[in-house]
Amino acid sequence: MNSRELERYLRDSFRQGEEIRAEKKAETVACCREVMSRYGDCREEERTGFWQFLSDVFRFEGFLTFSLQAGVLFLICIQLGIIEDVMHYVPAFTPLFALAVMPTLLRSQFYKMGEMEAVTRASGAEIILAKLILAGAVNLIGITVVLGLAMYRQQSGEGTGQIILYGLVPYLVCMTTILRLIRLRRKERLPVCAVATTGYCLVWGISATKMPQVYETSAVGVWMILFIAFAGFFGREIRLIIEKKREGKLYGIIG
Amino acid sequence: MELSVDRLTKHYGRKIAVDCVSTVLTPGVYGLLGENGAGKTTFMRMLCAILESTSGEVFLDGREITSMGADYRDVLGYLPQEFGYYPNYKAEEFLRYMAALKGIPRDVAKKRVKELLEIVDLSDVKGKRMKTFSGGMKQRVGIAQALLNDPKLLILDEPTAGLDPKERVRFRNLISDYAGDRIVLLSTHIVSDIEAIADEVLLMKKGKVLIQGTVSELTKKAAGKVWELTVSPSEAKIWQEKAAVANLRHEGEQVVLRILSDVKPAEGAAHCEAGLEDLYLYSMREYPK
Repeated sequence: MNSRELERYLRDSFRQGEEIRAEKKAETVACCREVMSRYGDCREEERTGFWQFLSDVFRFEGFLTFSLQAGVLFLICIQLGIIEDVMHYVPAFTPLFALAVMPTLLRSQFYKMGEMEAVTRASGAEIILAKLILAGAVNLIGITVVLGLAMYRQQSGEGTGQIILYGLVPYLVCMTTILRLIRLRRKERLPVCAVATTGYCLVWGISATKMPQVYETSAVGVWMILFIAFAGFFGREIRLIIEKKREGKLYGIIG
Repeated sequence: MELSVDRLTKHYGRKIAVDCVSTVLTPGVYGLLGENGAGKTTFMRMLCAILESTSGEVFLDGREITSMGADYRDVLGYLPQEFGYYPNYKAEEFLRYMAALKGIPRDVAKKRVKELLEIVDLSDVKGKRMKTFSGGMKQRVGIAQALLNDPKLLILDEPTAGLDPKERVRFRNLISDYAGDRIVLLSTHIVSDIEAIADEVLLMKKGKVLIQGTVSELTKKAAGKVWELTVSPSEAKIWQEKAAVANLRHEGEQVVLRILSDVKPAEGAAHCEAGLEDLYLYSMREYPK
């Protein structure tokens, strides 16, 4: 039965009396059942939501993410226990957390899984976002431990704000660089990014001894401006990922 | 369901990879044939919305695919020509991971992964790490992952590459059974695979679809253009240079040539039945000067 015939049945049902209409109604129901059976089960299959997806990503990526971050945290804690001028060396250590996020974020590109993952329901943006949430949560713990240890080694509450800025600014610079490169799909620049992140650590490490003026109280304003600027850039990258996720569009390096 | 391609074009700088391709695909199996660099993979990647076209659009039931986002990817299954895998994942684990990305609930995924592992004959090795798998086994895992979400549109780029003859037959049967009310588009260099399962064939050359039609329609196009000629081995060498020779077989001291030509190539040449491979070679040939 085609739609025109079905429409005629329905129109006739309305034109006729109560009893005939009931008869027609039953007939129409039978017709609809026949049509439905012909098309099979039309119900759409259930799909998981973002939180279930996040839990799945945690199940598959959690171990790699956590073990890398734990390894970095362990190494930093050992270093912080050895060196004297802890406060000035904090900026050299926190980019390492961003460096440790890279294998998780870029695993699919490394193993040539990008194309296959990109055509799944979870867009590239959703996958990156889920990995960032996981890595970000662990980073938050790691950086808090590092800053706490640095403050403990300082043996006073003095300069707490500075230590927080020294820790967060380099981390935000590195994370923004990584996310920007992924967004701009600059596959060839990712090794450069890894080298740059390591370079940041060295530069900040050297600055601790060669440029003490950077760590003077009078320079806090510059650190504060850098913090606001890079927090803004980082926030922008996250906002773009969320927008891409909502639109379900391509994000990141594919293939 | 209908997938319509409207003047799809892709340029890489000055090189035209796909040149204004328009076609309509309805449920059935479509074989995409063409030589290396014909634009098959680029075309397929644009159909999967992972490669932006220079111009042109693709519509699924009237909706432009890039605007559909997750709704499009939900009905899409794709096997890339070259794909990687996480070497430490076991086959079952890998499929469960892909199922998670496809948004399939865990209980459904568990059941479907088990079914698909049986279909691709990997149940016995489901607990083995993929890095220990042969090329054919990895290819079968790839096919299984493409089928995980029960896609209405299945795009397979060289799915039979690396499969042994037995596996190829199994794959062909699987696709024939699976097609039903779905659109299956597959590319391969193995003409016999397409001949066996494709309802329609699209022949691509230099980014364009030269011909589209059923296997019988296409073979009719080659009818009357396939000739058999028996010559001596020394003459065979000359014929290979001056004509499009589709096949060459030795019969005792003589050589039997299968020549593709619009006109009778020589006095002793006789007509023979044309196949899809003949049409493919006939369309792809560079005319002898």
